[in-house]
Amino acid sequence: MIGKNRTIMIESKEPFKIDVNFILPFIESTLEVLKVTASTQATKDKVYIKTGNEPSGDISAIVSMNSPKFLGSFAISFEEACFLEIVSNMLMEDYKTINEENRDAVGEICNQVFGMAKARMNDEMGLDIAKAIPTVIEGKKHTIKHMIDGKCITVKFNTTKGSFTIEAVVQSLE
Amino acid sequence: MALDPKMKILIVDDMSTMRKIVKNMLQKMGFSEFQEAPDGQPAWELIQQADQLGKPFGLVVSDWNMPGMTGLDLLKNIRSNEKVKSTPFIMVTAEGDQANVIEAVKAGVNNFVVKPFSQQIFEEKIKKVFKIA
Repeated sequence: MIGKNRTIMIESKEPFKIDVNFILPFIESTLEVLKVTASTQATKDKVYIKTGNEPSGDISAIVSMNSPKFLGSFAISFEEACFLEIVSNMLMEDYKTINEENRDAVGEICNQVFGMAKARMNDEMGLDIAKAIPTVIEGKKHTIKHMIDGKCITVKFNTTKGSFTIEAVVQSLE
Repeated sequence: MALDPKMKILIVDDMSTMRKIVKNMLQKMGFSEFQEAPDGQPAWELIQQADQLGKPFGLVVSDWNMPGMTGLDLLKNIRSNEKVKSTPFIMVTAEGDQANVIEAVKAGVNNFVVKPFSQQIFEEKIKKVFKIA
């Protein structure tokens, strides 16, 4: 849990409202997935709104979020050193570079975080979010193009080997 | 059903990373004979070939959500084929919604492992399929 009162501080230049019940499942799933699959204890840093096409990390995965109640996409993005530490733990091999053998781990992490958060939101909030398959994006300091335009809610996490972010853009259909 | 360390296990997942994680866990349990497939269609072909060669798979460990044939459709194919319908099948998936679990159980899954999972959980689920411990 990210705090007993389930509140979250967001850094934003403009007033911005967010349903905490929406972002918390993703934060908690991220921490849980990395702990269980990669023995990595990440810590949440800050929650903020991306204002433009700011770069994300060096390797990312994005997945669409389709529900009768909203549309959008979710992404996770790692700095290279952070990703290599995590994937080395996941696969029990010491990787020094991102390569064909390990690059789809970012898709699997995205899949697990999204799946876990989706299950919780579908079961507890009745959102009926559909299954989806992540796409991997690779490139030094690349930009992630989300499925729809809008404010990009971003959460930064730290590990001992660097940082990573999760981000989501959503649009209500109600 | 007996848990034979020499049995051949089919691992089905579109993510090579996940196939490797599952394989590592199975190797820790003492299994050594594996085949892999990236989705349900090639997996179904491997299952039929193995049966024709007289060396059927002792266990299928499959993801659900894959491009091409899904794990659920693979399971339905297996359960509707007289020759291979009793093949033990474990669904390993991030799709942990209650509705999905019910759908898989109705289709005849032997056990359901929700990602992320530990070695201990995985072993317990497999042993339960073979009614050990």
